[in-house]
Amino acid sequence: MTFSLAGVTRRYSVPGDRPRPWRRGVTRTALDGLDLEVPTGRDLAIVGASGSGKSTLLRVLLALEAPDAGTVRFRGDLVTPRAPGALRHAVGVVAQDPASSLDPRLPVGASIREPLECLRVDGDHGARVAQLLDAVGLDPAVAARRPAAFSGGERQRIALARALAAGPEVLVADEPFSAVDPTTRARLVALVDDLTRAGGTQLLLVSHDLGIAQRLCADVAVLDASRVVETGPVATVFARPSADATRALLGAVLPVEWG
Amino acid sequence: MTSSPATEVRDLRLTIGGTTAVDGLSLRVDAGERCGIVGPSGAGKSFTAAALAGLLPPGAAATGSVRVAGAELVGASEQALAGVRGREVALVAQDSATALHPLIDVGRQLAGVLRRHQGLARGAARGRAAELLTEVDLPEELARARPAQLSGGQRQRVALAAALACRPRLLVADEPTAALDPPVARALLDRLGTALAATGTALVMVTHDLGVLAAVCERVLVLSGGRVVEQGSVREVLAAPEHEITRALVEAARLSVPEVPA
Repeated sequence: MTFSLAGVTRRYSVPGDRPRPWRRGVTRTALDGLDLEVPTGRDLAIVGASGSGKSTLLRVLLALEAPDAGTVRFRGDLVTPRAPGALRHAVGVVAQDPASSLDPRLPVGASIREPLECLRVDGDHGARVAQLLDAVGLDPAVAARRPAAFSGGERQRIALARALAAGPEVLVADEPFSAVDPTTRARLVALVDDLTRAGGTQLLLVSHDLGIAQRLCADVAVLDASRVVETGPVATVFARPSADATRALLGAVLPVEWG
Repeated sequence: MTSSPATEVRDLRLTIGGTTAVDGLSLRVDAGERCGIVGPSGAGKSFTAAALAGLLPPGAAATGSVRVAGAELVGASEQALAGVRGREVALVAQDSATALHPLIDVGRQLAGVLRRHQGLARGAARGRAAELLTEVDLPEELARARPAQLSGGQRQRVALAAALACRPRLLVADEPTAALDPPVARALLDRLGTALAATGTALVMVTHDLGVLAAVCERVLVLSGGRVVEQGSVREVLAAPEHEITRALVEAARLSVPEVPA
């Protein structure tokens, strides 16, 4: 198992209303005794409505936050924010909005190089950065420019290059395609598909988009109300959904045909 | 319904900071008609929507003609525009969190629209505001909620209620569902469709999403580089796109539709 989550619960204290900040906040349960097994080598899509717990699940799974109850294991070993073990070396992350994941003051080449340095990857880092930029379809000469010089789609390519820099075994992507227009999205989907296949990188994708989830992943896990309500091969789950939440998601897909 | 068009645009050109954003656009939308504008990022969709709503940013220079309910908006004074906005044309933006006042409850904001444009007294406006909320399937009690206490879908419904409060001839919607997840987006679009049918309001909707286009609009304009590269009925354009930009959009949109074996 790449990841194995058992009985994971995560609660947040939401602050009181704006005009009365002194009031005690209310507690919201973002994950409620969630169980999830991610087998090695099987690309997994995590889908669910807003507020179902997708983003919290990723933060807990990446050991960025400790669960209030339950355990997170990566390849059998318990991982926590203080002791992430092999996790940091083995996982690359692409966030929804590259504007928040790339340092605006750094040339993008330096941003891509950062994980190579932090993880003390051997080899010529400059050559590796050039190779990564080329792999995501950008001219290696752009390495000296800052993020502001790029379009949203180009920035997401750079974020992808950074995530893949240290040759991770797992690529975790949180809605990586939602902030770009559909034509750009189609090119990014193809790119992620090519790069994860070529590198033998396992993909863990959080997405609203069931069509893209199906194109990129073998398995799907459906989240609803802080739990995994359904999981299995994408084709099986979409053809014969057993949970109401899955049916609701499938029912909300708008066909690209009139009438 | 009247025979005069809800909006008629002739040879609209918009330049912003020396860049041409819209380059000779013409469009006519009749009462009750629903027209979509699609195209890649930077095609000029949002500037066109802003021009139709009388909300061009200060640095924008427009030539040509934009008439809404008979009133010319190009070159009109701010005072003249203020008389058209809200009454004859209203805008629903992508994220109404920025359009709604964060500290005032939504009932008062809706009542404010009615008092300003229809001269209703305080009590009558408050009562009508509650009705408007129920028309977009929100409970009346939400009138006392501030925008931050609502979900994104609820906020978009409030924005829709505010936009339709004065029964405008034209509703301009700029990516109204882009910030919503699919089930919430679908519910909002259904609501939008019934609200437009009830009031006979015409719609111009900017969207990236051809699924959203097909669910709401009967006619479509495809923009690229500020020009119309293809237009026609949504049915025909989606079934047989001619321009390469349109073909790429249709192909990209199909990616988002899962293949479910029967």
